[in-house]
Amino acid sequence: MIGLLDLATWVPETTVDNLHEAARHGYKETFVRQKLGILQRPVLGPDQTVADMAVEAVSRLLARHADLREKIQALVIVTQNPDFRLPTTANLVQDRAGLPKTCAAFDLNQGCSGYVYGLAVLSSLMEASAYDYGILVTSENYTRIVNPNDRNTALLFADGASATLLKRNGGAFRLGRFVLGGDGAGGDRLILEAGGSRYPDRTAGGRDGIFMDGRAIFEFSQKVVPGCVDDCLALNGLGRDAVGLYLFHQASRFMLETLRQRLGIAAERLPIDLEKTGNTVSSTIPILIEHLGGLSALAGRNHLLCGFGVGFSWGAVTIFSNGNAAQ
Amino acid sequence: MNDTFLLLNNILIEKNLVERQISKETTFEDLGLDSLDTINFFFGIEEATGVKIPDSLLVDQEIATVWRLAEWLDVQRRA
Repeated sequence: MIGLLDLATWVPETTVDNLHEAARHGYKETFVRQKLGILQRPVLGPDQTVADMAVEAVSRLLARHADLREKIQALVIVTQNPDFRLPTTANLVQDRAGLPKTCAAFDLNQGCSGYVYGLAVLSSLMEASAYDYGILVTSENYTRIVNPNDRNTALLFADGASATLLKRNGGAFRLGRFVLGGDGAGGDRLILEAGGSRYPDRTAGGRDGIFMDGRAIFEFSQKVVPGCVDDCLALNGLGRDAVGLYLFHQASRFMLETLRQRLGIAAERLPIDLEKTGNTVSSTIPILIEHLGGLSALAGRNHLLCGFGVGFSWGAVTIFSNGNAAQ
Repeated sequence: MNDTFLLLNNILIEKNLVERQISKETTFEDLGLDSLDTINFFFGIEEATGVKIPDSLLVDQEIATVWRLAEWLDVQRRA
């Protein structure tokens, strides 16, 4: 069994005032407050990168577990904005974070479902290779690839990173079974064409920034997420009431409130936490957990994590409490 | 009253987009829906009727009232 021992997050200190930005795009304040739910967005400085954020998050995590640094056997970094096309960001971070050379290190290209996918991949690797310790990092820098004049995306995304320490047979929670899925037919509904091999002359950002079909993303999430949640509960032998919190990817207030309504889940059991950190893509779930007091604060109940978005891609897992405190 | 109009009325209420029944003369402007509310409303209609409302109706405001939308839906469902 692989467990969640601890997690740490890092977001840039520099923030953008979303209400101010909204006025520039012709949105009313009520729309920003009630529909986006994002009042400020942390934005990475021009001289910093995804690897820098990842190193910060790993450093915060290992500051609490200095004795484990040499014992880390795998590092997986979820990002869609690597520092370079090659080598992988994980290789850079392994070195800069002082992780041992015996540590397996690689990137995983996923977006809003990335935290759940990353947990699935890393825990599977740990099981297969009998590793005792692994670190999952999410680090994303969408603000750099958004067209600042695109009113569909300019107010949503923020930058941030997380680092989660996984341990064999330990931690506040053990991971249950995963439900993962995808539908590439929706691939062109949230896409960044620049930077890949198909359009080598395009540069991300500006008019070649992310394209998002908000209506398609909304419809996809409403159709897929409830089934994903129910499948995950069934796979883990749980009823809806056996789960304490539904910790969802923090896409937007509107998206989460409509999902709450559709699933019939009370507001206090599906928390929304976007005001100060925005949509940080694969980092929203760990940032949410930290804002709720961290893993130890959530111990004592089982919870369900669910990510969904670009791809289309989705995933859910239940985390089972091992007791009332981290072990 | 048109059944489809009643259906649209119920979707609006179910999704908390209006507080009470609307009238035959109610325009989309009267409803004051923002872009996300409209997406939510149209998604509810698609789920209930199987008819996908094209983006052009959203963008070009070709249909001004909920009643007219109900009539348009009836035509699509008969087609």
